[in-house]
Amino acid sequence: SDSNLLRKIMSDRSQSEEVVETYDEYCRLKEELEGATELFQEAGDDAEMREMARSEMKEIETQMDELEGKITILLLPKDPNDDRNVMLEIRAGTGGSEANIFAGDLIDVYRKYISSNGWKATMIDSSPGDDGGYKAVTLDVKGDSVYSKMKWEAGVHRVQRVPATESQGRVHTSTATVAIMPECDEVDVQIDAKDIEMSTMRSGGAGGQNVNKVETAVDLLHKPTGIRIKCTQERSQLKNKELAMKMLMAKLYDIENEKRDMEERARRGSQVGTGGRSEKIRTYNWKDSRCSDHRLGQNFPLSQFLNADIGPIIDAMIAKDQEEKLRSLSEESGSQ
Amino acid sequence: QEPIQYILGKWDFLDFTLAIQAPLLCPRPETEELVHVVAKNVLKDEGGVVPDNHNNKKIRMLDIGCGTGAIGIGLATLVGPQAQVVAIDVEPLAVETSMTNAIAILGHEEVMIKQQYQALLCSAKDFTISSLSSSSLLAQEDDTNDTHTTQLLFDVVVSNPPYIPRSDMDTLTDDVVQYESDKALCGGLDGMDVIRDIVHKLPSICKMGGYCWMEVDPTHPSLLKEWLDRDFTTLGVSYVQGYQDMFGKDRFVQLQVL
Repeated sequence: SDSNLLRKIMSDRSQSEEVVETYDEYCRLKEELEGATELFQEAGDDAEMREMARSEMKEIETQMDELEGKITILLLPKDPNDDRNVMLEIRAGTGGSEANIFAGDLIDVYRKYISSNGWKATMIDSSPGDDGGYKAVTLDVKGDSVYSKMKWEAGVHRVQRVPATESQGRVHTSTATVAIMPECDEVDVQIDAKDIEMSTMRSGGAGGQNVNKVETAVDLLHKPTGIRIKCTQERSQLKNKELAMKMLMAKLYDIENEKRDMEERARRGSQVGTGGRSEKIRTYNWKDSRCSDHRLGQNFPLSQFLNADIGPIIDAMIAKDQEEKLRSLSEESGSQ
Repeated sequence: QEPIQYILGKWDFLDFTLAIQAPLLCPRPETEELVHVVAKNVLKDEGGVVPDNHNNKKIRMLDIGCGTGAIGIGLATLVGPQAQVVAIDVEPLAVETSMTNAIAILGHEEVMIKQQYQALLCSAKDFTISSLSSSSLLAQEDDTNDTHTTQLLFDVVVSNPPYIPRSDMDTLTDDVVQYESDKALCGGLDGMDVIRDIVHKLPSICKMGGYCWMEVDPTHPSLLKEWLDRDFTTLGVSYVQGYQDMFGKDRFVQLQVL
């Protein structure tokens, strides 16, 4: 967790540096503007001089406006989790086999997007569907500021198409839920050992040298919340336990974050969605080759999404979120 | 019914894979926990057992009843290059297998040249520091005033000795008793035969203040505490504490040489 602290300090510092540098630039321009204004005033009757000075002033003023905008955005309250790595979890929703297949399609898209950003994805848990895809799948995603982008994918995704398993060509609607959980550690989430009930193939028996069962699956129940995590990925029981605890911490942290986030967005009267995990954020329609984002109120070509070119959609969400924060900020300061 | 570890001839332990064959004991998950607990303690320098390593002092560890080498090798991987492990077992196959595993996992040079791991055919009862001198084991090369023997004393002794009480042996399932050696499982009537041998041996093989960690039967921690609380002055060994394993059983004990 020392490396977490270091990462946080370095990112805080580079953010502060950016603000300071931009502000210094702004001050420099201000001085230039004063110089140009003086020139304008001293120009007197010299029309050419006056014109030159005036166009220079205009140019500088435009640049200053831009910088003002940039500084304001830099000073906007930042999501404290933006720099973090994430656990990406996709669960098939309604729709049976087709939902599982759709979950598989989504994970394919995200894998491409992750690798195109130079991030690294590791599968840490999966329950494959019988006809393909997944009932549930979890990836560990590491890289630069992963959460700041991936968080906009969280919510319910809906697909309307003729399933591969459908013999009569009817269109079905299925769903899959995407959860994006920022990485966390014991500093973020305290878990009381008494609240955990762990069971394995060894539990209840004599254990130790007496038993040689190699089933290493670990089943963890967090009693206060009822969250149950099963981990079978690793060959060592201890590692499965560690992994299960990591996933549990991520889920608990995510719940806290979601609550806080939803309160904040409700206060803002946000249009950028409630941020709730059960919020329907997108519909993918195969017949119309269209992907609709309900928060943006915009459509995108389905092929764009399937090619994992989701950067523009995410950027649009970020821009809209910033707009809202700006508006909220100016309303607050206006009312002071 | 043959244990899958024997069929495959190998199985994972911590972050590595161990070669294994009958009748050696297949490492259990509890033993992984033991290694973690010991390594954490060694690295945290608790109780001043392990000196600060800026003078590159070796941390000498003894694995009693090494079997496949799981514990000793596991400690070497977690503690690092300053770990120096001696491992003993009464089963020749264990000596052979643990050396093979050590070379594969720690490296040929680390084992054969830097002597990071060495296995000897010896029982707990018969083991002495002199058995080390005669096998020309390097301890430290720096010039201290200590005699050679003192240099060979161990900082840490770890063991997963046979600890099942004789009466419990009947309750074991076939996949255990029919394949894994009785000698690796049964610790006599109360299961404490080898454990007692180890306790008696500790003052002569361990540095003062050195710790001994053992995986035991859940009936043992209270028996050990009772025994050592009563006789620590004559035995020269005290009971520090017991630890539970992840299944909530009293599984591990920590003793200290006075």
